[in-house]
Amino acid sequence: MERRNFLKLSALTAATSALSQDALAKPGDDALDPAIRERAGAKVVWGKAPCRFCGTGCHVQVGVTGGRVVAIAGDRQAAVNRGLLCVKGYHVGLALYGGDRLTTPMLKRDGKHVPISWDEAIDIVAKRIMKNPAGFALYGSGQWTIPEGYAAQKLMKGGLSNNHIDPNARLCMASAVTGYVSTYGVDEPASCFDDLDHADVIVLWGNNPAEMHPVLFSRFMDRRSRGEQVKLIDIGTRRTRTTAFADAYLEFKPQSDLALMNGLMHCLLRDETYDKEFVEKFCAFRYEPNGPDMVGAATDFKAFRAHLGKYTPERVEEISGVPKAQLEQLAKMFGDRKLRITSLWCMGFNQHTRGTAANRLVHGLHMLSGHWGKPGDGPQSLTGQPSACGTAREVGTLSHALPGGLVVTNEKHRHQAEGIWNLPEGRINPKPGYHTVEMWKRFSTPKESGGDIDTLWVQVTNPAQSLPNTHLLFDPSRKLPDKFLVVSDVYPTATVRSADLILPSAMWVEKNGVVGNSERRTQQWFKMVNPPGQARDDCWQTLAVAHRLMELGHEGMRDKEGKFLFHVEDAKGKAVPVWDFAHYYDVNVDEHLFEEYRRFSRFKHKDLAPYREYTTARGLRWPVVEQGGSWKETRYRFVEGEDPYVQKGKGVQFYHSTSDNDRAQIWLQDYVPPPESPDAEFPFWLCTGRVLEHWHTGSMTMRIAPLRRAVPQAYVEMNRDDARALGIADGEVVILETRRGSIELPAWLDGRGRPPKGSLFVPFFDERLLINELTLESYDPLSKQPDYKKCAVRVRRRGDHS
Amino acid sequence: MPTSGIVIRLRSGHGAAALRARLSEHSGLAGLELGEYRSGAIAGVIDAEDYPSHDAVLSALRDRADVCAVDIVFHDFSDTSEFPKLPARRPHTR
Repeated sequence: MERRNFLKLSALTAATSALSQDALAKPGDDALDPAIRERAGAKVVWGKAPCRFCGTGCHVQVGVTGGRVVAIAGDRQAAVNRGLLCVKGYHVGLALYGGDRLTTPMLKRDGKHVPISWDEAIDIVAKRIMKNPAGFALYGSGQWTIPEGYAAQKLMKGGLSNNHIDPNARLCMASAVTGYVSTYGVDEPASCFDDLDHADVIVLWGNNPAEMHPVLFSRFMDRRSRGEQVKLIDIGTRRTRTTAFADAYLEFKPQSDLALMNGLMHCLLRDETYDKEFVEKFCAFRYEPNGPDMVGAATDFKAFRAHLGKYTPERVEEISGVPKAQLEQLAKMFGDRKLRITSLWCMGFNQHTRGTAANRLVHGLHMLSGHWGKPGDGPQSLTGQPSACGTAREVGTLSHALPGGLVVTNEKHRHQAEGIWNLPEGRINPKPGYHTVEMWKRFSTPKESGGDIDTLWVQVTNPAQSLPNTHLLFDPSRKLPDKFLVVSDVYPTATVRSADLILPSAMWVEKNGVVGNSERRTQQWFKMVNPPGQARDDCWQTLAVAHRLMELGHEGMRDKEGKFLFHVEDAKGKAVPVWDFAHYYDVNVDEHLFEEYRRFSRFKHKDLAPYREYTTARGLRWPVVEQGGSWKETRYRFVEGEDPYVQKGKGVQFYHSTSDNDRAQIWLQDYVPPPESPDAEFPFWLCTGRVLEHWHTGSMTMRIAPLRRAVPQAYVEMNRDDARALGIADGEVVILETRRGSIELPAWLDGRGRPPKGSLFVPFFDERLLINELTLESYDPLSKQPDYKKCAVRVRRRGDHS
Repeated sequence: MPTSGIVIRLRSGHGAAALRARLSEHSGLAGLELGEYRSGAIAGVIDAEDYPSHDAVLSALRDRADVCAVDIVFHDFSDTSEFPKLPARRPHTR
């Protein structure tokens, strides 16, 4: 057969086969498609791992031969993705093999990075810290594994008595955290991805799951393609790929989501379609008499009703631009308790100067309407990073937090942590450290002007590209002579290239790991291949610095009995020098750290199973409790029959209630305009975000040829009418300017995203086109999370100075 | 000559026969062949001379009101030598 015809026949066969298969594997299927295993051959050894990329936490089967990852397939036994992956997931193996992996520690001398030994590198970091321990900060990541984050947490808070540790998850999930904590008394979703299999209606609040959580999107779209009636309501500030699949699209003006949710609740009360029983039995009311406040003050339903009085559909339409007919229709849907409604959100609510309020409101809306606590019926925030939940939130690598949901300001919590860590009382500092924006501000400010952070260690993240207003928060630090930046990473990112000391790191299956996804699912993998050159595990780097500090005499590196903070023994009780990389893999350091960390998980009923349980499971959702000799996970928290900690007869029990009465809090929150809005000088909204093909700052995905070829550079999405008015053609390079910076980008009209008139969108994955030089560093007063979704910008053609 | 196996998902209420009829009249979709219809979707092949014409067929399909989505389930470019030029990877200077 002629080759051309053979290829066409193969293509048609594949397409026809795809028609007849369900998208998702069935329970009981082999982890790996037998056809793939056969085609790969006997020399390929397969192992399980969660995907390196997003918070969905898909499981993949990784095929290894000759010390290299050679194949990736979806893991058909994984409950999250059932064998399906997205385009990034299918290429995740290639993330390890970009041509410019960092392989040697490098020190900047006379403006150039020169190779040095690991011993010298570790010594440099330790000595910088010894010189000024209080001036040291550690900036970590929601892409840290749990053991990595735990080691960093223990070093800082347990060893150095220093709370200046914060993760990049401050930039993505912090408002979700404050929303959950102030509503339920404890962080993280009460529900899980099973909601997607049961919901009648899925409401998307400012997120674009078709691109950002594509496997989850496929889960409910697959139900539709099999004939189930699943309605999709897309509520956003621009049309996206998700909108194409929606039954209804509500377009709102930036920030007015606050008014929208108040308006919906207004309608529920007006029409008496709210769930009186749920509210009376399980809810309390709270307000903020003195401005934004995590604690607030108690109030009552009468005050709540009075508060909502002003959010009439007419008023909400005026604020938001959403026609009142659409609002009424959505309110009617929420008022129908026969429907199962799941709300999903991500950065639209979180990257918001009133992100805590937005989160509180969506929880309140669901509780008021009684759409809570049943499969398919409830609010669920989606996580961006693979372990923002597992590490940043659960291990507590935030400047105010301790592991297990404890906080540094609480004396009892500090004592509990000191107890587990065997530290003298008073070791842990009660004063919260600097959150991300403040940390980088201090690092980028001269010492004589209050810039009291002089050494900053970055692990597993790229702040030179991802911080807002990088001209303010990052760039100045590179010109200040007494500021020392240490960066542990895998590729020469914008941050790495600016570093004073570069530490090459192992990534993903080049090391053991444990992470926690968006639905409280803790997942584990074993190292499968070696990292290149002298790249080493981030966790080892932290332990090595800790040991060097101890050698230099820092007392904080010893516990009460004088043992090293990271003392590890083998099965025979013999101490293993894990700070010496030659011995790091003599034992499973991950297991050792995890088992110690696990002791924290009981405090807030976030129980974790023993490490060994995760080595065979495709993750387990906490709380995981031992029942009848096996470890049982929890799908839904606070619901009797699902959550083992709910007392019998209670139905729903918010056992961490901040009002100490087993009730969750419905907050009175007002619409507040954003700190910067378009005006005569900067007449457009600027929104930033991601695209399907690229993961965050593109440091991995831009090195994967098919993904880079799919979306090779950043662009600005413009409304066609706006472009026409300005004389801008599709593809023409234009200049964007805010009060903070400017950038040149090609315009894309009628692309995959379609902003309304007066709005622009730019993805942030392209390190050659740093849109965060233009964004605003303003943040939510409670979560300290910046707002990347709205600031004022102008756009002009090159050569046009009007 | 890039080749793609595709699955065209139709919007509910639209039938395969009508799509075939409309596509056969559409000269902009040269290189597209349709295959079997099943449960609201049609298998197809795009066999194009080059990437611009391959991508033009995809865009034209996706823009159709009767098409909900087009998924690529197979792609071969083994005998393609002309690829769109990528922007140079020059580092950003601060």
